[in-house]
Amino acid sequence: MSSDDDVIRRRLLIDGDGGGDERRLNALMKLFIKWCNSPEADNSTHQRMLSFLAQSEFAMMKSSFVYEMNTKQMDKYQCLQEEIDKNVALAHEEIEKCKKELEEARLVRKNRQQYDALAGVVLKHPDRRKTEGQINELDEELKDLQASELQLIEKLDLRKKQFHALLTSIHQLQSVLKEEEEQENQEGVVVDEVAMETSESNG
Amino acid sequence: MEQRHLLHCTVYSSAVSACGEFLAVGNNFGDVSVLDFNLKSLSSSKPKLINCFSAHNGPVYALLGINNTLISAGLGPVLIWNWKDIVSFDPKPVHKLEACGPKASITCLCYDKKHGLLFAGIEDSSIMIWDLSNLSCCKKLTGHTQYIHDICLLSDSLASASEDGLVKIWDTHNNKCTKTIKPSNWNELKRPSLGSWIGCVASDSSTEWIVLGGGPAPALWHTRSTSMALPLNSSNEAQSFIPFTLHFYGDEIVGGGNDSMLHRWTSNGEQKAAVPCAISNIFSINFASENSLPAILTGTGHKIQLFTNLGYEGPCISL
Repeated sequence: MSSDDDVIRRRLLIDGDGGGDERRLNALMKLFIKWCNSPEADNSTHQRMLSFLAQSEFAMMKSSFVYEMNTKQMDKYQCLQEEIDKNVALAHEEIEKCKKELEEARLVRKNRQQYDALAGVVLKHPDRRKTEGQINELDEELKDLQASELQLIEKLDLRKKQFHALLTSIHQLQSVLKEEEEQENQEGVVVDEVAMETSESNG
Repeated sequence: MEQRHLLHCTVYSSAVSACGEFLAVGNNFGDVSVLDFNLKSLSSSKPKLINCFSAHNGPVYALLGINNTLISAGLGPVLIWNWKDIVSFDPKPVHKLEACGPKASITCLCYDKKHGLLFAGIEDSSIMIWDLSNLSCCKKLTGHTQYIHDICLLSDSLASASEDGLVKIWDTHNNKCTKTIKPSNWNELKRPSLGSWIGCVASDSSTEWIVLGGGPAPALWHTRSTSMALPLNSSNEAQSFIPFTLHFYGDEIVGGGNDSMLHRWTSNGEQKAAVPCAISNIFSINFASENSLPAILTGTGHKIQLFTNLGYEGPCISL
């Protein structure tokens, strides 16, 4: 019947130690009854009853201690769990922070590497000071050459003018000589004409 | 796809949708395959193939995902599709952009968000520019003598790498070539046995640095002064490493080429890692969204490999 099952179930669930406690209590009850019924004061029975009582009390105290211990253990585990959860959350945050740092570091590394590459390219070109020096030298050379060019041009001009002066004086001399020649020719003609006239008048 | 097709499949390009849900890959048969690609559940489930449709008559060399459209380019006109359409069966392109003659195909695409311009490098050595707001063709940049392998957007300019060994930097406002770089002229880089062609060009976010690779050894260049900064070193026996695709990712340079390894270099050219992967020749590396993993590698073979961490291989998806 169900009540039997219930009883059996209850008995099986609740009876921790099993037969020990139950037997002891039953024995205690029997002893007590025997002791009450016995006519003379029975010390041994009394002692035995007391010992049974003590044993039962001892069992009870043990189970109550175990119960306390279990609750304390549970509390401790609860605390531990909370701490661990907190640490997990903290670790998550750390991970996020580290991820961000990693990204930044990657970017920095990429920039550094590109900088290195660019530096390599730049180094392949000659030094700036050297090229500037070369540029300055070339500039000076250019200036010198320009100055000498100007000088030569001036000289050329001067020579041209001198030649011009020479040529004009030659032309002038030529024209003077020509005029004198013409004059002489004219005078000769006049003298001839006069001579002819006189000869005509004489003759 | 049929078994026969799988054996001969080469995946040239890939693109991820803006919402990050879908991955489209283009292969040499002209098909575009769309995969369901949920970033968060990559570890638990592999992406699945949703749809595979025929886009072009020739190989699809370039795919680009812009806003809610997918732009595919290969033989024939440039096609613009809606992502919504291509996840269902038998989609039709929303727009078509006529490019060039029927013989030449487009090898690379690049999009300028600021001005809404689409740049495409074509096999006939010219670069076409379209204005996507009114779908009209703006200009054509000519200057290269052989076909263009790769183009890359810089601030206000465009870098193009071509088979003729030159990398030209064009000003996108007045469409003139401002600078020309010929890497095979540098003694440290030139590899006469491999030629002088330049296969890939990429720039970093500040566009001060570009990496070039191809016949000459891959190297880091400074754009403004067009001077070579450093060669990208590889391990000893890889004097024959040819990168087919290069990218700047975070603080490192990532590249894939003909030795079936994903190479990583630091920003000053030292080799950081060479991760072996399942694809023998890597033709394209794409990142899920501007700068976030996983990385998607495609190349010869019908497999697409995902790298959720650039340090080791990830799952392989078969088309």
